[in-house]
Amino acid sequence: MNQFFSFKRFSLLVSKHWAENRTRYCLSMLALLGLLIAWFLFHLMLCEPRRIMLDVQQISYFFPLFILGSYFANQQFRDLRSNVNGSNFLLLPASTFEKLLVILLFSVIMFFIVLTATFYLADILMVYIANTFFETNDPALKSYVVNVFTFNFLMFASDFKLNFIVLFFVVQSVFLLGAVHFKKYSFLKTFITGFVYLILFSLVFFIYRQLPGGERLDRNLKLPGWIAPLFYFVLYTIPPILWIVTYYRLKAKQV
Amino acid sequence: MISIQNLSFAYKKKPVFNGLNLQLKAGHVYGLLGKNGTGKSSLLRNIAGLLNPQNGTISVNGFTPFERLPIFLANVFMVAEEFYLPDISIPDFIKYYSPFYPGFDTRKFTNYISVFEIPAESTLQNMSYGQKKKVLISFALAANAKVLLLDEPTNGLDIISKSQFRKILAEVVDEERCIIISTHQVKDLENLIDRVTIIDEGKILFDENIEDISKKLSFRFSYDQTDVENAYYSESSLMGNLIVGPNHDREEGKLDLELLYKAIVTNSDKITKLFQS
Repeated sequence: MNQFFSFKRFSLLVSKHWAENRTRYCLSMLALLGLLIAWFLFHLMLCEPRRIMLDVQQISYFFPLFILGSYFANQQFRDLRSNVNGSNFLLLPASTFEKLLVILLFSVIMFFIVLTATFYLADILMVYIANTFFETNDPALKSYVVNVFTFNFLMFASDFKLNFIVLFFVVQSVFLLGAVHFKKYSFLKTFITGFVYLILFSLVFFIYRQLPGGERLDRNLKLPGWIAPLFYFVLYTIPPILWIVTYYRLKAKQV
Repeated sequence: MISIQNLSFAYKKKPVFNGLNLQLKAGHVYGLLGKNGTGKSSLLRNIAGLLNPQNGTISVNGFTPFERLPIFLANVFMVAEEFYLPDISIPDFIKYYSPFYPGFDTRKFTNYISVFEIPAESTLQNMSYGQKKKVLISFALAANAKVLLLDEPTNGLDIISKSQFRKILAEVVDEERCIIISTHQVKDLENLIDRVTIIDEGKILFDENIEDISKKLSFRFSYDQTDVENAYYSESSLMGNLIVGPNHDREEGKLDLELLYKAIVTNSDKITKLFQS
């Protein structure tokens, strides 16, 4: 049998992961659904006119996506923080690649799908309630279900746009790597390290803006034509690169 | 089966092994003895692939442990002193973990846990430490791994369970399997071990089989002062002096592992010479 990847071993790992975590995952999903409904209700009670605004919906989606996503990614390798649990994880007869793949499946793909589905379940329900109970003929005062997939961010003065969800995969991959790299306080250490990099990144932009030709145009940064696609390309490649680094860190892990 | 050559390993600044050499063969039960902190558990973790030596090589069944290939992991099972078991029932534990071990024998597992008197439908997290350990030991033995690493296996087991453990372990010893038991509870495993390996200061201080030890050393009570003075080790007791001395008759006598350990730790040079002669 292939020692790098075997679909049989991968399926066994998926089943095992699900059996050990399904209660926690299902309860977390229900708690999130409850919180989102409570939050939208709270917002409806306070907002005048009574509707759920699109930007509130966006925040209600992206906030848990990033915060819970980072925490969830960090928790995936919690076994490696102790020698006892780490031994169980590392000595299970499956390859490092298969183990990482299962973690990616649950922490990145499944988390994204389940969180998005949970959000839309709460959102569609609450938009329906808002429009039913606070009926209005004015289309501007009605509630509409937000499309989170079209929320673009960092729109440079170019044709290239960056979907905000891409940033989720970047942040998620950073926290996954942090969870393997740091043995203690991995969440806080990753957060601080990420923050330092963000400051450095902002500093580069700040310096760029001081250069001739780098002036600001409204809310958009004017950049030479080649910088925007390069920037986006780098962002798109960060997650797979960090997953590869995580693989090698995991392979070299000692407990 | 297991070949360790020139092994050097350290935890950050604390050296554990420096040039350790050891050969372990199939068909034997090795008793790994040593003081606290001498590296017994670290040696087992190096063999299992949890730690990576800084220098030297380890070969287990022809594999380098730290590569942690699935085929290697399926044939090496380690029962650590402290261990983790998931929060699932025993049937689920078998359902989700046993397929990773191609040689796993469910019938044997059921037999072992019934000998240990563990209810087959229990949930692992509701069990005591001793019960969990019995489940893990049963799983380890049923996995039919070629190398079995047991770190203080009898810790946490009650008197009856220790006896059950000895009985079960004796059943699984065969010519193809290498069992290494690291323990301080030497009395618990005295009749199982067929080779004694003592580690001290990161080196192998003593490595001999039980047959040779019994032929060359005698463990007995003595009231003769000359015997006591010539002994490699002696300690007084209510019944006289308990001594470890040369076995002049070369007839195999009863081995006392605890006394042997004390004798080697306190008088290793003389005993080593005796075994080299």
